[in-house]
Amino acid sequence: MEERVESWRVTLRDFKMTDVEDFMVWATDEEVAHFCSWEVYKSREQAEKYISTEAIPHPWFKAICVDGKAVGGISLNRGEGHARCRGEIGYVTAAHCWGKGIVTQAVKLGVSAAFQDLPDLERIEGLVEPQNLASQRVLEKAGFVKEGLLSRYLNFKGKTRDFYVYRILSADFPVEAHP
Amino acid sequence: MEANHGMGDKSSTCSVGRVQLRNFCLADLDDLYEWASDEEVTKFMTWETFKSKEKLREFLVKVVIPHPWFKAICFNGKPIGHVMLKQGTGIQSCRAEMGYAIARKYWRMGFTTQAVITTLKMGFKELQGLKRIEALVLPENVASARVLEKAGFVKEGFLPNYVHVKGTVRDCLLFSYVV
Repeated sequence: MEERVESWRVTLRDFKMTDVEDFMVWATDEEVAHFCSWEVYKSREQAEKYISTEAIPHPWFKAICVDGKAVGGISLNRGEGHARCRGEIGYVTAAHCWGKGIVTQAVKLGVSAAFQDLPDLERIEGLVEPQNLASQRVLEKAGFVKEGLLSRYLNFKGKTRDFYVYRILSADFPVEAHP
Repeated sequence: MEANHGMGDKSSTCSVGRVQLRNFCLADLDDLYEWASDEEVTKFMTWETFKSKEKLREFLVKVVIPHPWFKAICFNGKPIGHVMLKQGTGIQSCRAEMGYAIARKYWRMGFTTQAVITTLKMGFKELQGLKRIEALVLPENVASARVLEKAGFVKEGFLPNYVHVKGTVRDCLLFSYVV
């Protein structure tokens, strides 16, 4: 039976080096990495290097936490130049978080925080493969709209892949009161 | 229509019908200025309209000539427009964005469609790993949408708040051609 985790227990914060063991829980899991462009992590050193050289310095990359403990990550990759009005959201969590409302809540928090932190960001998009039904449901529940299917859009792990593109606009995003 | 190919290197040329695509050279400056300085042409592009030949010369030398794929569209040997392909890197290397423009006096004669068809032939042959060519069109640019449809592109979606054009965030139609 699925156990729902109350929304208030899900928070976002910056990554810390002390998150490395929690990071390894999802980063070494083949099931988690299945739809991701990266290969599973093989060592603690590799994880530490990623956290210190990529996750922490990233312009917008947060740890997804349940009761303060890191269970995943969410990032916003901003376009440059003519594309600076848009950004692509990416997220990953440990498999034990799936099906409990955690990922949807993290995406809602992430979208709200990104639109607040980046004032001239007008559009956030998410790319999901057609077979990744769980992630499509997350985006739909978080208020994203499916715009279309982009054929042969990205290539990784030996395959050129199609992606659904979803979007949410700052103009449509409900402004909620923040504590 | 016969297509004459170079040996898949930067100096390749190709003809379809009455237009030929070839690399730009410094001697093309005056011809390039004709459409690059025309507001009626550039209003649908992310380019700023060029107001001086000096500035355009700098662009020709620094951007156009060294570019991996930036061709002059020639009619009777004279450049009447340009078409360029910007290929992505890393996981985006399977796709390239196409941009093009033709001098106003050569509009509505079928030149642009022929140039786009030639680009499809050359681009997929010459750019390593390319599986997708995409084009963004402003919704009011009906003529360009028709060119793409005639050349066999598929309209994948309407993307609101997608790109900055002349300081304003604009909606776009996204077209693609995949192999």
